[in-house]
Amino acid sequence: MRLKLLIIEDEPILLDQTEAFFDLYPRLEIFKAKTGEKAMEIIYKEKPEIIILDLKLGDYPAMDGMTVFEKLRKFDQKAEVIVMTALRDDSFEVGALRLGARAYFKKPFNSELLRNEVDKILKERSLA
Amino acid sequence: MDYKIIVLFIMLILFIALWLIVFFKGQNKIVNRTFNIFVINMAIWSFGLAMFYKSSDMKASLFWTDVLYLAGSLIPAAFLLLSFVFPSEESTISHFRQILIFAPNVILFGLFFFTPIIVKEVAIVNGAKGFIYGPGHIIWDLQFDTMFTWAFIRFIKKYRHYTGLAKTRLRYVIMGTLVGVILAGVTNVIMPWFNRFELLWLGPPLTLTWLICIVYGIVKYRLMDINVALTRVGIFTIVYVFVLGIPFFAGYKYDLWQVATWIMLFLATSGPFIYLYLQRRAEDALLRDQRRYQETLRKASKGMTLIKDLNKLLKLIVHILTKTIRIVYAGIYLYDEKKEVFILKMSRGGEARNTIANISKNSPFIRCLFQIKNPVPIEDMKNINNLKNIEEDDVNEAINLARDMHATLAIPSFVEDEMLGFLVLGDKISGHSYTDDDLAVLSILTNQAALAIENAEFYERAKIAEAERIQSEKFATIGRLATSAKHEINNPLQMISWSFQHMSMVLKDTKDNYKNIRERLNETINNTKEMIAKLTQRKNVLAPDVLNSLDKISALFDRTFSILERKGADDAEFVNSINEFCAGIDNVQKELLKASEGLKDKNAKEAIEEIIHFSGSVSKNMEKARDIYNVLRSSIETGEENAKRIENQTQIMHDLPRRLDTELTAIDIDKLLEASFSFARQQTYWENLSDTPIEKHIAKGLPKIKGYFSRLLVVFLNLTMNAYQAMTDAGLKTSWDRLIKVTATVDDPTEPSFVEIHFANKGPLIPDANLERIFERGFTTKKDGSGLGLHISRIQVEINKGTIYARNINGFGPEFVIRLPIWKEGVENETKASDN
Repeated sequence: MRLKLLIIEDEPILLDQTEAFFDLYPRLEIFKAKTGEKAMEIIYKEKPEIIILDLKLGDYPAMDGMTVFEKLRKFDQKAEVIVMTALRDDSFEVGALRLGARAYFKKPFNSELLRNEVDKILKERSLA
Repeated sequence: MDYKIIVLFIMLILFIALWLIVFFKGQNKIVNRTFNIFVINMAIWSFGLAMFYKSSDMKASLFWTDVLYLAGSLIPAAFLLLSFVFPSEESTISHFRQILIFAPNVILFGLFFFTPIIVKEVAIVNGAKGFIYGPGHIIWDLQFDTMFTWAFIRFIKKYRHYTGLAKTRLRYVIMGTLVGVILAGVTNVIMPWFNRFELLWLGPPLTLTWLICIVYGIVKYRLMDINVALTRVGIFTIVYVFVLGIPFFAGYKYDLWQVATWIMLFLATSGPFIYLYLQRRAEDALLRDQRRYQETLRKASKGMTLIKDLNKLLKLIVHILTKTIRIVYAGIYLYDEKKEVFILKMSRGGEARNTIANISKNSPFIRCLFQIKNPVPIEDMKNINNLKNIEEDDVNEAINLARDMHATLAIPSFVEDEMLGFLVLGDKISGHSYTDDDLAVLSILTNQAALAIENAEFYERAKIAEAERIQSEKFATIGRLATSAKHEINNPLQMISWSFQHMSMVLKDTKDNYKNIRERLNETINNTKEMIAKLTQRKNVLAPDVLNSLDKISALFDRTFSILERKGADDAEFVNSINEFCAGIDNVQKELLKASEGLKDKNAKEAIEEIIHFSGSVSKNMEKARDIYNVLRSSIETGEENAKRIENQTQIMHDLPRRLDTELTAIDIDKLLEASFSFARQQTYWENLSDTPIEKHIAKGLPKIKGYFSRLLVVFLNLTMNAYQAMTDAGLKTSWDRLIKVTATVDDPTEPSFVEIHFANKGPLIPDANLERIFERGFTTKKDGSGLGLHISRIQVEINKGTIYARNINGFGPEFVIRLPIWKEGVENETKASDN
């Protein structure tokens, strides 16, 4: 069973790099979005099980990462959300964890952390 | 009217005028009351004499004789009383004693008015109106002489005992009285003994000199030189002799009373103006020098408040004092609130070297000044009776201390009720004492100086505060910029970091290829083995060595590739396994080659050649891969390291408070130190000072400290910059010679309250005498130093409720020890709330 992974990141290179990490994962089907609006479209349509979310998006301030997260939670309580952000305001971390973020990574961070987290999710989902 | 009577009436008027002056000065002082007794009796004596001459009736004349003699006896009694109460303002004589002094006068009163014992009758004696004395006349003389003698003895004793201003006043009194007593005594006491009464009427006028001296010396407390007083008296006498003499001469000599009256009217009106003019001219000449420097001091007072530099101001003050007043020594002491002592800040004086560097605020000298509050000649401290809670021994101790300071005069300086400091002045070079005018001008100067010093100190504090504010604002601005820049930096950093990581992944993923290689090789080896096995069934074919070697190759490949394929193999294992493989293959190839020389079968030989060729080829490729991997790995490491540095640097700037610190926060010492070093490196980069090794030893689990981040950043930045500069100035230029060592531990591991940071640098030691001085504002040993860095650092540490001091580590260099309070959980909210 393949899981859907949505990467929401406004920086094109980072978006591609993140995708490259999971490219060869046979159990993942990858979706990408640069803006919050696009992300919500994919969320409503594809219902991804795993979401890698950047907090500052292309359509900021109209739709930032936290807004996407809040909207996601109204729609889907179970999706696993991994937040990665260049912002340093602690209030975002608190907010993300309150919304049930699986992990919160502050850029720059080692990609292995991200891959490990995804691996864990895959393992859990496969055991379940 | 007889001219004698006129003169005597004039004297009466003068005495009454003097009495009124003293009366209106106030009767609360016993000195004033005593002087009043003097003057009234002088007036009565003068009046009595006038009436004696006026009365034609002998009985009336006798009455007036009794009056004038009684008054005459009260004069020495009053003088004796004065000897008890002057120069001290408090009465030191009991009422009983006062009664005793005047008791003889009561007896004399009875003898005069009810008996003829002293004066029998009035008569014309040797052509002049005089008296016939009774047998008891000696009683009066005795009383007169005894009282005066006793009084003089007392005054002379006091003169020997007293010093300074009091001594000068006593000199006035003694000299003035002598003149008066001698002159009046001759005409009114001695000559009558010889029945010579012609000059009797001159008695009161001849005491004029005496009276005026007394007035100046006692009542007005004008500490003028006696020659000035005499000059005034002289001028006064001359002027009024003309003012009154000319008209009377005209009247008596030429009987031109009408003309005389007009002349007197004119001269009497212009008399005061003539007197004042002559007095001013005379005193200008006498007091030229004094007035000159008093004017200089007044001008200096006004200009002082314009000087903002405290040191310059203090130098100016002592310079003006020593040069203008021409004194031996001048020193300024200012109060240090923290140490609670008065410190000698500036002094000037040729031979007089004041060794008293500081005086405690509780010392008797300071306590005396605090109560006196006005300029005080040192020797006069003994004469001041209203000093509360200060014993005589303390006063003596104060005087001794003042002598050690070479002080003749001390002038305290107050701002409201706080004593800011005091001036000490030595003797005048001329040997003259300080006059009242001097004290008045010096008082003005000192008060102006106090304001100017306050001004300068405030200016310096403001400068420091402004410097701190600017520095804090700089850090805050950097912090704010860093916050907004941080986001823009972090994404590119992420991209760079992930690029390296991706390369690393790609390199490692090459390991999958190894599996293919191994499988292929194993297949070849197995085929070769089968072939050889078939061959061994025939005779003389198989060499056991060949099989051995083939097994070795196989084993080598297995071992190496199982490592390479393994996920999680680290770089060292990866490289080492390749190295071992290459070395191993080389050896086995040689063995196999040798072993296969004996093989005769062509197919077997070809198969072995293929294995040798293949394994050799793999080995070469592995070597290449290893080399490429090493280069890439090194680049990745460098890239990751630099990305980390950028991240650290921006994080340091990001961690700066975005606004000026207004509340205490929990601060990580390591972060604080790193920020300081980072800024120091940036500032010294172009000077090549940044290449200084720093050894940091932070105790494990060191708790955070409580403080204002940017303020403490200033402290450690200052220390780092000072260390850099000190090492450079000492000629320590290379990274082998330079070293900064920082350790941070808690004060008590079981119950920690403070974190103690030891900040040391290699280099020359600080002289012991300067270990504390380096924290003083303005102190510097650098040519272009401001002397503010360590001073500000100490202020900042103390604002953070910590302490800082310096010491030397022998064989290494100077060390600063900083103690800062620990941030304690549980009291945070309390602290913040109380701060708020």
